[in-house]
Amino acid sequence: MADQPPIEMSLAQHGTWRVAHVRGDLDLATAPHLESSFEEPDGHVALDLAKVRFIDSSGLRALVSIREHQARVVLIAPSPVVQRLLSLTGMTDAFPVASSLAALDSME
Amino acid sequence: MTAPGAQVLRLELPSEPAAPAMARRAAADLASHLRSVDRADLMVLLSELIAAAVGERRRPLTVSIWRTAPGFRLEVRSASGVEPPDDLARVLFDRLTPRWSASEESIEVEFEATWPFEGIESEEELFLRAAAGDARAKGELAHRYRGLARAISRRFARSGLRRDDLEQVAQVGLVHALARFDPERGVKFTTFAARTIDGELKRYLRDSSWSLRVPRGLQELGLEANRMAADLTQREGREPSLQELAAALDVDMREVGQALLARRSLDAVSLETPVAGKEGLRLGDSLPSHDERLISAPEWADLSLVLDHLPERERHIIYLRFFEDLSQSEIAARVGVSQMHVSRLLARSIGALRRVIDPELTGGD
Repeated sequence: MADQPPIEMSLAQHGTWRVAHVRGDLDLATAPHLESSFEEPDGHVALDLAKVRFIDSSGLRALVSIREHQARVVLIAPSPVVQRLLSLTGMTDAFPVASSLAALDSME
Repeated sequence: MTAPGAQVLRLELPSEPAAPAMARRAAADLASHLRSVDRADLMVLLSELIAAAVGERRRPLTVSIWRTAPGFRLEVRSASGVEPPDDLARVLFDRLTPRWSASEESIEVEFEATWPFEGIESEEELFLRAAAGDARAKGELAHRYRGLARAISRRFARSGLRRDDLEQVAQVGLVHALARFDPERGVKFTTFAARTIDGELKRYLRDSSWSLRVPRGLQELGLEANRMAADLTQREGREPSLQELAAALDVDMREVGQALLARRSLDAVSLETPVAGKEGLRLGDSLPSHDERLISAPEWADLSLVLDHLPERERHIIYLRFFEDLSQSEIAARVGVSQMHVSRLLARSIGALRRVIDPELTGGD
């Protein structure tokens, strides 16, 4: 199998927010990539998870770890699989959610 | 585990981080006929199993999947051993499977899927339809949240009631929750359903003859302890301490406490009814009235383990109240404080004990 990592990530700045647009699968192989994108602590981080096709507990652990090291973490439009995993693990309320990048502006 | 059905996939994978993705790709065809939520759940399970068998310098792992009547059975095996699932993985296994098991070399789960519902996948829409009386939407939601009901029923595992009975009751609670849930109120369904299911289980617990399931040995010891306590009281002119009682019976202090408490629990059903021979006294009198939670048998049985947390005087008051069936006024006279004060101390002690037994209560909701 020709394995390119089944994830694409792009980083951007939106006002005070550092935004990661994530597309693909967040699992054992790819979650570390996401986590290492936010090594600088205490920032405002927005994770655009609208295009996440798959996530397991490795992915969720990365989200939790980012949240632990950052001042603020918001999920943007988490896809159904992300919502499903959050709900299964009782973490629906653990992350604030913005419906879109634009909606971030109304969050201080 | 039930008898395996036909094996539909067997796959050897290198022990590396990419293994879960490889397995998901290999299993994609198998899952293609499932509805998307089931497909996603199945893929999560597969990934969790494989992640447990991936590590540095490990031998290749083997993934096997069998088709079963309700879904699939998945197994991951590694000669280098598998990690026991961590809390998060356990929660997922509990929520997504009726049965799973882990050994040193393998983990396996059973997955039930395929409630046939095509089309709508958005939960908001399903809830709106269910609220409008759409039975298929309700069925779909009942299917999606069956894991929640199961997880809550497991909290009652120590009640001594049959696990599948409890699960059945929990599913009934879930159906009630679905029937009464109003999505426009802005309450989360999981919150609402958890409360309804919990209530259903508690009622069932109260209505069942669960108290008969106190182990026989414990029952007999309880009886004996009661008799001995009476004897000692007569002989010494005062009540024996738990320690003295244990010494007289030649058993462990903890055991006596547990036996007495389990004996007490035989009456726990009657928390709301008058205690025999004690007019105007209800067993539940001292429970804070705003709290509808009763103290159930298993909780009582646990009390002996946590009574140690209480100061001497409070422990004595609990003893008088629940072992001796004294009323609050009688206790007040005996201890030399006001009845109000006894009431306060009891409420506080019971609250403290409950928090030790069920830390969730401190969280509040």
